[in-house]
Amino acid sequence: MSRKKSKLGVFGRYVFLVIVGIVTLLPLVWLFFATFKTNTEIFGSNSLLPSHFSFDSYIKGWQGSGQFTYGRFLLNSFLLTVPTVLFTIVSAISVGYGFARFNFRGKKVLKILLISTLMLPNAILIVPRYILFTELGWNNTYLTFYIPALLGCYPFFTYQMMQYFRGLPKELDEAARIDGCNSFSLLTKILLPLCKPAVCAVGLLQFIWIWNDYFNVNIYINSVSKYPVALGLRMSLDSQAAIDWSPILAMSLTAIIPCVVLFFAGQRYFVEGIASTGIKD
Amino acid sequence: MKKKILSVLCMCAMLFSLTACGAGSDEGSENSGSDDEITLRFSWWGGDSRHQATLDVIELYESKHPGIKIEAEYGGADGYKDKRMTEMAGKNAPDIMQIDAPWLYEMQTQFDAFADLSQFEDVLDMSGFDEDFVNSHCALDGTIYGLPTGINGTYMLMNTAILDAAGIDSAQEWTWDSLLEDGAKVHASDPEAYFLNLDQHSLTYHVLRPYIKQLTGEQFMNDDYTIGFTEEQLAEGLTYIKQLFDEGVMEPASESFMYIDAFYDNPIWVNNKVGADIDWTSSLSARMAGFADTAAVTKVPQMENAKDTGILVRPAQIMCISNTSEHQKEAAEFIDFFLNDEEAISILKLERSVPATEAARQQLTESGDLDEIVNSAVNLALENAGATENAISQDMQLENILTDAVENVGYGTASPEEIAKETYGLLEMKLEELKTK
Repeated sequence: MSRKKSKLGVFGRYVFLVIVGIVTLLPLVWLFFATFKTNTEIFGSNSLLPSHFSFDSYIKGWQGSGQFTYGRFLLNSFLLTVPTVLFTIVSAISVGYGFARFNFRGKKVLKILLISTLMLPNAILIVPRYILFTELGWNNTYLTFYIPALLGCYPFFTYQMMQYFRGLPKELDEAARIDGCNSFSLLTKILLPLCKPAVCAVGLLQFIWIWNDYFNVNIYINSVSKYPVALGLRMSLDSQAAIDWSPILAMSLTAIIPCVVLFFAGQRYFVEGIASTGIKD
Repeated sequence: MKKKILSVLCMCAMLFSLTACGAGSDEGSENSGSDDEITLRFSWWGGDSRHQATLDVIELYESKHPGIKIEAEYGGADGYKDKRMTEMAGKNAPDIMQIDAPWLYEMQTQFDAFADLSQFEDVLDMSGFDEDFVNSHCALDGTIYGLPTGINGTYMLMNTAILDAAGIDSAQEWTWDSLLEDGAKVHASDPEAYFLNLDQHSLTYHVLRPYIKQLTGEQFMNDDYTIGFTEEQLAEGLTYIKQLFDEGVMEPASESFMYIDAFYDNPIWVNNKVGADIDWTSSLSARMAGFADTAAVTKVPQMENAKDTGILVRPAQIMCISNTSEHQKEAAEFIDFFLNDEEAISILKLERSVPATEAARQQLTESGDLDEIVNSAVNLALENAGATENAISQDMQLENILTDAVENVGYGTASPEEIAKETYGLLEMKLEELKTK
């Protein structure tokens, strides 16, 4: 009796999950099919499937508008994102480690400062940052992303790493020190291998955020030759002109692929990292 | 001790990476700023075809003027204004900018952003432009800061196939009353079709505003920060909008208001189930693409004894030169080429609406590039244009209050009189706030 009941429960759970899964995936599926549709089909009909399949919109979309193809925009996105992510990881680890394991004068104040920058909305920082970058001559270069990442200007990740470090038992440090580790080799040899999930989570999240960022790149990057995908996609979206949607949707789908691949590749660590940063004993 | 060493090492690493990267960027800027070549930055927003045409003109200009390089900074309309404002605050704006005419006041007063164009008269020929037009839209206190790329006017676009099917005479002199009376026939004869398709923004801007202006004949908002109409007149305008929905002239608000700023994405528009819309000429060719053979234009509906036509004419965009530019004269030369040169005009065609100079219109008419309907829509607007709006009438915050009122009428949350009363109070409050700023 009880077995039957639990089977039914499992069935019910699966039905529920399948429904939720469909609801979550539907926009993506719609996006995929919409890349084959004409404007009239997109707006004028409710059918999910297009009337015919052809890859014209992908070819047309890839050519982009004006001087550059999406090959350039995608390459730019990688040039922008990959170093920024690496720098973020380096700064988040070193600053997080410092806050979690060392005692120094002013630690409390600095920690409060770190948290308060976390609360500061990005929009407020735009103009002062822009003026600073202009003075330094960094505008229209990816330095506007690299340097803040290197200097720990993404406090969310620093905080995340700090919490993770704090969750690791201090006994490990003591044992390592007895075996002759200094602070640096303690970090690289003992703590970092244990931090793999958190580091992956930082990397993945930052990759997706920078890859999809529109506002900051729009402000700091001027030359079309340096546009990442996010800017490239909006290039032909004029408020007044008629927009041919299918090439844009086709390129949107293409732009999602790196993020999706990365997410599935690192998914195990990603979920683990997010879930365990809050735990402390 | 070890801690200190580590921290010193970290500092060194960071400093090193800073200087290394800094050196890299310096090289880059040296290359672009060499003496024999002048680089001008030129920014605009638009769609694919405008980008391509503009890039072609730039290429042509560069081939004719060796030593001048024009760096194109183009993109979609989204975020364009934010970016330019940030650049102006950082004194790093492009040398040549395409901006929207209503931004001029804000940008010039806040950032002193633009150069006076009259000082370049020897290289920039302004004789082809209508003086009143330039003075009222591209100038502040008599100083000209920009030149219009094209003319934009309001008009009503009709799909005669829909009107004929419902037995409506499309050639009539349209009044608000006849629009209400005849408009109802479309939905009555075909339950899927409606006479008028607009979203809440265009309904406010192209119906409520002209309606009230025709009642009053005054500026919408007065220069002394008072309202240019009475509460009763606002109630009358809102009642008219309520009737549009009640009589089935427009699709119910719950459907049509979903397509904010994009009523041409509404399925009834895409499927050619709409009789008319009222909008700017700049987007005319795109909007009539689905029914080009049966498209017709007429002026914005008028009421009997209208005191002002309420029809607006303004530049499509304006071209400005940055006040912080080091090569203003070269920038002026480029603008002259961009707006006056025959070859440039033949490439740009109608990408920035119907050109503002008579010579360019003539040229495009002869070459057959000036579409008959677009031209007549612009002429209709020009011939019947009402008073030019003052700056305060174009304030977006006031416009949003009115849009809210129109939404409330559309959704039927209260009677038009009640909504008018509340809205009038909100407008007065906002004006008071703007005045003290």
